[in-house]
Amino acid sequence: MPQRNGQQTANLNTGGSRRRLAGAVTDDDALGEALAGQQHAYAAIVDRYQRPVYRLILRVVTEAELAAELTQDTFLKAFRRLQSFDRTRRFAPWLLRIAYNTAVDALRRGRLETVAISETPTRDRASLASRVPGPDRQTEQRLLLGDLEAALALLRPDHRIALLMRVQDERSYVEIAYVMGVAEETAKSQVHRARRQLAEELGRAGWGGATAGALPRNAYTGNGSR
Amino acid sequence: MCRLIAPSLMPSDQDAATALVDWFAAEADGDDVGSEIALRRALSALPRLEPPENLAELVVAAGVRAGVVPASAPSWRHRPARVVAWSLVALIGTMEVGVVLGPLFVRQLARLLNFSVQGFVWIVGGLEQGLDAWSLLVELGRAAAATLATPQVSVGVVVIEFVGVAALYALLRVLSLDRERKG
Repeated sequence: MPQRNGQQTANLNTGGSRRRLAGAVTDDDALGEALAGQQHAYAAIVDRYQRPVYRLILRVVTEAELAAELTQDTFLKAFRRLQSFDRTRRFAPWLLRIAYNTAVDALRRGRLETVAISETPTRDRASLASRVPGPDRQTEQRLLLGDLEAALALLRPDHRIALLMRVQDERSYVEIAYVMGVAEETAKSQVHRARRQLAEELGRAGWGGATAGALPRNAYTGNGSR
Repeated sequence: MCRLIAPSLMPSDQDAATALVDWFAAEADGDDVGSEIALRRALSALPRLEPPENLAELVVAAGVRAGVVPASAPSWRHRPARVVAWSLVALIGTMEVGVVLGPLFVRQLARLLNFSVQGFVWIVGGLEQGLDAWSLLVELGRAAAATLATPQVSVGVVVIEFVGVAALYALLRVLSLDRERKG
């Protein structure tokens, strides 16, 4: 479990004590004020961590409204357990672990029709359109982003979550393993498998790879031609 | 309810394609660090959903209902009433003190004036008779102590001090309320 770190920053648009609290003090100070009964400290904690919690849950459940609802549940669970939280540890991984477990529990309870966390989706691979020359560069770019999203959706959920936590959130394997409740080696393995599968899916769609018609390195250099 | 934030198209989209090329190359080379950097660039072009803007308020409200989050401090609608209440208490207290101790203070003031006049007369008489300054001061000190060391004066001093402490406490409470509002 990662050790305690220093100050964290947040970009907030709230006023008064929540802005001061969330932008300028450490997690430990915020937790101290919350445990002392300061209501604004609870709101500031939500402001600080709502985005990473929401995005993690959204990666699991893939439905925006359900993700918002589960984000609320996550914070309520965290506040109930705040007294027992070891303040010598980092708060973010602890909170994200609650978020991940909340989202996975929602999947297991069958609150939405989707794949289980460790099953490979069987969606129609036609959603990944074969790359054909588009009328203009912007259209091709949009096709690329669409195929990238579709390829991510085809990954096993736990692999996708581990990959995005590593690549988008830049979390260490230790943190990823703690949040997902797996061993560090398992987290590494999940990330590598996700990368491999992602490359395969995009390669099938014709976006890259030596065997699938690689994009020349000097493509889209800004001169309007390919 | 959830907000979609789309990154600006041209620069990031150009990066997405280039990043993907770099990513494939890094994967082929077995370069884990380069692969993650390139894939991060590619994924940064994807739009990211944001949580609802009022999520913090919703969570706190739900937490208060569930008894997990403490209820808020008295709202600012109550503050003017508290200030007025404290002011009335201070005013009434001052008036009562004035009614009770006013005559006492007047009597003591009269005694003080009388003492002062008699003292000046005595000093002048003593100087004419040739008394030295130290003797004069000693006698003045004895007379002042005899005047002030009365039960009425002592009680009056104690009451004045009590009123001062109470007023200081009230002021500190008002200031702390103001600090909580701002802080």
